[in-house]
Amino acid sequence: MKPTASNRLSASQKALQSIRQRRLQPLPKWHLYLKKSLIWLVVIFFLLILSLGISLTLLGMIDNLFTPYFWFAAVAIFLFLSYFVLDQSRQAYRLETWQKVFLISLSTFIFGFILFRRGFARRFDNHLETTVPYYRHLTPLKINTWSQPQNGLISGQITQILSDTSFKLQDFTHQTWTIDYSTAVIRGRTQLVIGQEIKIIGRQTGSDSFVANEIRPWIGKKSN
Amino acid sequence: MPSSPCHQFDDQQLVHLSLTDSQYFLCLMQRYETKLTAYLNRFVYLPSEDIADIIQESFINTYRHLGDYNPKLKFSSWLYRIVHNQAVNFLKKSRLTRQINFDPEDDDFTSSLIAAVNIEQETVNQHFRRHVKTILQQLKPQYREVLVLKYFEDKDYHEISDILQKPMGTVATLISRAKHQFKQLYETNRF
Repeated sequence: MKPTASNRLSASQKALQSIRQRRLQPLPKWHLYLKKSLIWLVVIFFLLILSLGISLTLLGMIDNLFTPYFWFAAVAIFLFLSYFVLDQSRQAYRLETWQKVFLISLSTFIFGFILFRRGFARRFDNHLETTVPYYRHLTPLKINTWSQPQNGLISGQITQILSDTSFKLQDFTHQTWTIDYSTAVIRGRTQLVIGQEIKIIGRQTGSDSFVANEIRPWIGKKSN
Repeated sequence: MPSSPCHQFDDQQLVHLSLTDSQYFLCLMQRYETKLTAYLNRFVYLPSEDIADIIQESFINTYRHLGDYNPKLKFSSWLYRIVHNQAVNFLKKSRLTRQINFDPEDDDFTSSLIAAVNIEQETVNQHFRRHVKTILQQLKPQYREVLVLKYFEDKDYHEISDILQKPMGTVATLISRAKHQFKQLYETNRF
């Protein structure tokens, strides 16, 4: 390289000199792809959590299964995190803030709704209830209310139809009960079929037997 | 020097060649060094040595991230972005406020800016032109930088969006507000 007329190197020449002295190389493509992939993996992970949170919030609100506040708070936190990480992606700057928020909200709401409709939210909620001790404290469950056989309240899933007046019920603690419903009032759209989830008002007659006075569907109105 | 003269290659070709031979990168740097120096002189008020350092560091940064260059973007926009960010970081570290340093006799810049803010040409005189710098220095930095990019660097909205990494709608809003504030300052100061 030739120095300039004033015997000083230009910024270009100094930069090239520095590149050569320090033996710098362009970062390899895999390094850049890895960084971009990591960003997108984190975004997708947060969006999945967000969708799950939305589905569980819907479960809590529509099903009146539990107070949805915990999951609502989780949705808010992951919405913020998703936005923040998405903003690190290459093209994100072309979108206005409201567009990014709208895209995240719309896609996760749709996916969350699908998860809810597919019953995934309920299964996940039940799984959390049985495996995570703190979960009960964070999401007060209607299950607790309807799992007091000693107080005449029981709930669960019908597992076997024994006769026109009795069936087997597995409650949410996996205990099996024999339910006598010969004198029970069956509310609304309750269907006594295998697999149906129901809640029962009545009285306990034995360690695993119960007489029903009223049977309601598990997914009821808010007043239930 | 590269075996082939630099001028026969466009920016994208030079980027591709630079990935394997750094000498071609010198062609790219020399192509933009003068423009970038002038841009920084209008954007920040720093000694020439600091300007040169910023440009040097920007070039090294650019070289390191050549593989990350997206061909859908104009190379000049990408390079301006790197230089802009480097300058902003430099100012933050040195805690200097951004001032501008440009030639008030630069008629093209002044005239196009005056026309854009709808200041009556009859009221504009040589005296006023010298105060353009004062007015610009009173503007908020984000307004000043878009005016410099638009009216002196002659960048379009798309390029400004790519350089500043802001949505085009935001760029349009910034330019509109910048012109409005410029005119307000002009009328307040009664030049």
